[in-house]
Amino acid sequence: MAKKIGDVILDLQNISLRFGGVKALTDISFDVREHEIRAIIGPNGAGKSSMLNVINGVYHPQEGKVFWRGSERKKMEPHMAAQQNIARTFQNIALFKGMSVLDNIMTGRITKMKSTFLEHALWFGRAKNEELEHRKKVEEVIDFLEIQHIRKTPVGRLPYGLQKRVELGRALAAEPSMLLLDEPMAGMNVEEKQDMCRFILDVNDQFGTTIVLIEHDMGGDGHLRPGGGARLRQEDRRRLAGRREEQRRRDQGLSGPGSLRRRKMEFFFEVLIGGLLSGVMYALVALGFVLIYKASGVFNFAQGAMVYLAALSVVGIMEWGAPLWLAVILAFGIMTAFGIGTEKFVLRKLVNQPPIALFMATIGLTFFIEGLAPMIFGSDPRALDIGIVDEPIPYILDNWNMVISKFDLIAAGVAALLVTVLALFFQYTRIGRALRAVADDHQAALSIGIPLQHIWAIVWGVAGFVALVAGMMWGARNGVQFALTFTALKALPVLILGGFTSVPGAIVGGLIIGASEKLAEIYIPPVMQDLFGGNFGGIEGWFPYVLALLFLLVRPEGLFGEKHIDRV
Amino acid sequence: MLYREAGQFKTTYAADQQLFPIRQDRIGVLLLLAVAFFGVPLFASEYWFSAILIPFLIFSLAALGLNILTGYAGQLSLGTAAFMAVGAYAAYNFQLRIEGIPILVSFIGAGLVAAGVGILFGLPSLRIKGFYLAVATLAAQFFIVWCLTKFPWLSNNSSSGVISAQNIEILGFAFNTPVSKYLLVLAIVVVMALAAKNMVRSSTGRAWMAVRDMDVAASVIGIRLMRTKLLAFAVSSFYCGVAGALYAYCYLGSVEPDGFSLDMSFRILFMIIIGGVGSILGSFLGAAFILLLPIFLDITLPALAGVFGLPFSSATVSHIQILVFGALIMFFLIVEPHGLARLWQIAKEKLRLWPFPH
Repeated sequence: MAKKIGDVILDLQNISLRFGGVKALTDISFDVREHEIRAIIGPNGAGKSSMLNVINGVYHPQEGKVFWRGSERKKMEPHMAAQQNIARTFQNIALFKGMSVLDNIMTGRITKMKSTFLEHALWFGRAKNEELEHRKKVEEVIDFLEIQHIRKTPVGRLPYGLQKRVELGRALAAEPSMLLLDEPMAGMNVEEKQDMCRFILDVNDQFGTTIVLIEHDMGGDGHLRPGGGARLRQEDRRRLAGRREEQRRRDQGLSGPGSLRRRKMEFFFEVLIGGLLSGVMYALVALGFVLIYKASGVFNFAQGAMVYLAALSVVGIMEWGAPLWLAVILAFGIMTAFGIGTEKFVLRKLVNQPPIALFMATIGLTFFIEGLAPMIFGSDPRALDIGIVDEPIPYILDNWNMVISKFDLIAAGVAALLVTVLALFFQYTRIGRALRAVADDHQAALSIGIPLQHIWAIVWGVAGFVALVAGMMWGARNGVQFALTFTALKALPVLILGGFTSVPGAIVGGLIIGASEKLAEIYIPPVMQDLFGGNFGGIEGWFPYVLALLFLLVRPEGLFGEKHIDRV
Repeated sequence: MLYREAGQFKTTYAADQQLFPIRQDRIGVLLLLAVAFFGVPLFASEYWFSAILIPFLIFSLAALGLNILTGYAGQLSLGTAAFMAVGAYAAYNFQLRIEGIPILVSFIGAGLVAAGVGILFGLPSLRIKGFYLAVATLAAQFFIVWCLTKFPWLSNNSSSGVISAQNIEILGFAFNTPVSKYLLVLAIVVVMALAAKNMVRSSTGRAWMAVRDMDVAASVIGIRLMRTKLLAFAVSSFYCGVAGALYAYCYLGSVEPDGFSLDMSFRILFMIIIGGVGSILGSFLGAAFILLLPIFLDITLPALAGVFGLPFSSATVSHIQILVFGALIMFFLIVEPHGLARLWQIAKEKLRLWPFPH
């Protein structure tokens, strides 16, 4: 028999929630009484899910108060809601796909388990007993939901309706006093809906669990209609704060590479400018990453190896007797063919894999190139002569007494030109527009007739071209050798600083990394030597990575990247 | 049709939840252990111990460590070798600086130090995931190796940071032959693999997998993301640290920081991709595969070249090795992302029904 509806246990007063400029909830108040089934209804985008997210602490409202069992709740983390016995399910099923049904439901009891990982490792003390005790409880939930036959099946293999039921089971396993259900019947057929209604009513009936339910389709089934057990209140002062809770905030708060104090020192500027110019070279490599990431969402770890392949192709073909211009054209052909081949034989076959699998595939690709390229063109370090001499510019040397390499300056010019051309290409050509469309949404782009594979082939071709330019510059500067791949790896911290999706980010990130690593290399070792003695050169080797790491702690999305909000 | 499991009914939850629920599996594992402990030492040659079996076990342990972090907790790391280096150098310093410390205590200490460093470099994982984290772990890779090279104290002032492992002695017994070292490594690996298996089947492992599969839902259920992720980093680094100590003490004897290179980190990553991400067994299969492949190529390629009359230098062979590694990684990710462990599982399921198709 249903327990009598009791006092208010959850009271939300004047809640407002914003994401940047977008208002998701505006001045909403409502309450939930013990043992009742409370429904929140409203059209898509009304902010229903945001409301649940506020209740269990995933989002933090800017205004308003939340009272839980009479006392006001301070800012809370999501796991604290679980400790207060609030459980929930999600609109888009949020099961742990790699685990079995049993493990998923067992996970629901995690707050009730007290044993530590050491006890688990040694299978000692409380670990074993606890496991059995909780298994018993979990089996009760499994019986209740009638899912005995699938208890050892991985949830990824279950049909949608059953997954929803398992998710309910996971929430129930925590023996919650309040259960938040986010569209528990979305996407179900009539029978599945009826089953789900029965379970929800039974939960309320047998365990007296208070239920807050979100639904926008009230027609499909009669059981949960007003009078059928649920109490609706459509006249809550909920405003349809409209639109989606997405936000696109581009922070322009960009600062240059540190404010320079006037401490004389041409030397400082010399190092700085040298660093900035080599930073441009990093940016060249990073550009290739950004292009591919933007267009296909693939984080191409092999871009560095592609730079190596490009440089080696040019040198190798020249060794066979071809002039420079022919070698460059042939190398471009090789890079394009290689890019298209990669897209066709590797990435296209991995389309539905998680991004991290694609990432690992590009690590494999890196090895593939690093084995293949020297096999064809030989592995001895060689010089690449492209007709620019690496010497100080006399004018600057005479007037300011600074050594600024002519080569670096030309390389920077080439990079600037390349970036401009690419930007124009993206912005104003038909292909550029298609590229941006693909980057935004593959399926939508496909549905309006953009030939996806064609576009990706172009992207890889362009990335190959960028790699070729970078490879020639780096090769001419440092010689063509295997170490080139490590230099190219520095493009990764550049990307972290700049954000993966931003062309200007790649440039600015490159400049910062280039300048700071050179400055660190010059100015940190003497300090260290005074402190510890010994030789502390080689800071350049790790400095960019550590800088990027520290930067990530402050701004995880990079300087120009888009802030990502998890939608649940 | 290896065996039938028909007729084995579980009447208690305890019986259903044991480590190997099928009787034949239990017998099989015991047999395997018996062969490894008693059979192998009788027959294997010295070359087998020092060139194949010992590195296989050590790399299995490192792969196991990485698998805990990447396969179970879903945090990709490209700095495994660096954590092994921490373990090797920590063990060396414990032995060097603390009078009369038992070697096993040094190994545990090595694991703990590596765990500490792992937590430090795992801190960014609280704010970043995926590629960003992978790149952040590169910082660990380069920074740690640099530190070990540049701070003379860590390698007792030896040039370029080379250390020579001290002799191993436990309770008066000197482990100085390949066989004895093999047995020591085997014992440690078996115990740690068992512990790993226990962790991943209990709530610790479920919390890791929950964070891997969907972190927001995990936190709503009451899993503390910070603690869970850092625990994964710590446990993983502990395993890698012990593996590193064994690498120095039982395999090479003397190591230098540059030996723990990015390339080694990648190889260990390849082990878990090919062996099976999120599988204890896979760590062993992958380690065996990655270690045996170069040996196999070393033997077969020159022979093949001889047949076709191609001029194969040893450089070409090493290039082909790298190329084959890369190709295999892509192949496995496309064809069987869950690696050899899944192939083994499929084979077992097929064999259960054999000769019938369904």
